[in-house]
Amino acid sequence: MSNVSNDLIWALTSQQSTFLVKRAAVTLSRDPLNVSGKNTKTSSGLANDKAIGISQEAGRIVVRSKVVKNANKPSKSIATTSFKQYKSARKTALAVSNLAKGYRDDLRAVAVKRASQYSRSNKTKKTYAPTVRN
Amino acid sequence: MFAPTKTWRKWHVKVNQNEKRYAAASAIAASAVAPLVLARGHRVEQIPEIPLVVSSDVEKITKTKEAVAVLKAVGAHSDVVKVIKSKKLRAGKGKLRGRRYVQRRGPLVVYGEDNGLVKAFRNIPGVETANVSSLGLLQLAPGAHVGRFIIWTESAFAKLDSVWGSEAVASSKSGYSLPANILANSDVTRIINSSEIQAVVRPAGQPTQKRTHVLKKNPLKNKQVLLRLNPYAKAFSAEKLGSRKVEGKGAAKPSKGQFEQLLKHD
Repeated sequence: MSNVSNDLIWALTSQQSTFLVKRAAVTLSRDPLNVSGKNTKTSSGLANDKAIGISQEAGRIVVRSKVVKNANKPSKSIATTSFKQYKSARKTALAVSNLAKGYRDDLRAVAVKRASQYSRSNKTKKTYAPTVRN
Repeated sequence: MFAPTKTWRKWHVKVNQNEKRYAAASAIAASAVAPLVLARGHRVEQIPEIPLVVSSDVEKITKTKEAVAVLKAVGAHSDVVKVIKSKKLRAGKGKLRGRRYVQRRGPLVVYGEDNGLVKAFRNIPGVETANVSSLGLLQLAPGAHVGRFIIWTESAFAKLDSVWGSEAVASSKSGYSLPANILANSDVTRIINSSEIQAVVRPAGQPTQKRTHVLKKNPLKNKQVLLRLNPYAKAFSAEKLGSRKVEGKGAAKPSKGQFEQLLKHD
């Protein structure tokens, strides 16, 4: 457990942090533990004891989550699970859903959505040669 | 005041000593919070623990090569790599004024006693060193962002109590004591869910939904809306109060000449 409250961390990091991407209309987050990419307290990877992040790295869909008891031990504080990028989209989605369930139920739907988007992005569309009419 | 530079120009803003110490103490506290160190941009993903305390033997290191090896061993070298990669030409006139390059800040090595450590670490990009008894805010919170990645030597960490004071030890700064907590617990969720608060709050009511974008109804034409605004309207119409004659109307009027009589009394 961290020795500082999450509310304090959020107060310190919501306006300024290395992960923030501030643009004219929106402020987004590049935090690897922020599953939605939004700069909100619920999805923040810094201001929550439990947080999920999903990314795609070197042909794998990687799910990261925080280990609560190792909050002050950075090298052990992140649990990583990864799936092959061509694993069936439904199976990946189910696996991600099961990882989030009971851990961060509120982020489950967002996590599944993001994992599905990565799966979809890896799909190669069948292409056909253009038919020529004679 | 400006141009040409005047001798009486004040170059520094005076800050109260207690205020500066408050800031430094807060910055030291923040350096022990992993999310804040990460939020400052330090690459601390590989280090074993925050705060990171290494053996006092590090103070005896005299060679930069060994110093780099220490940083690699504790997983702090990726922060140095970040600094090396970040070196860029400064934008603007600063280039001509002796500040040609900009780069990120790396770890701050805090020592209790310098037995060669300062010279060993000083040529590693971004790495700064400081004595535990003279920690400055510019190093603890560069750019006013708390959460500097600090590598303490064991002797420096042990000295912290005597420098800043604790419940058992008095601070070496004369007459100084650390700021007390204003709020014992800053975890709002914990406070709200505590039994003390939950025992006195009213039970949650029906969830209500705010209705926006609803059609405005004319209460003069729509009876249900009228009743909502004016519950008395039901009785009013049932008893036909609107068309009832004024009571006492048509009763005996004061007889003619009575007023005149009154006027001319005696």
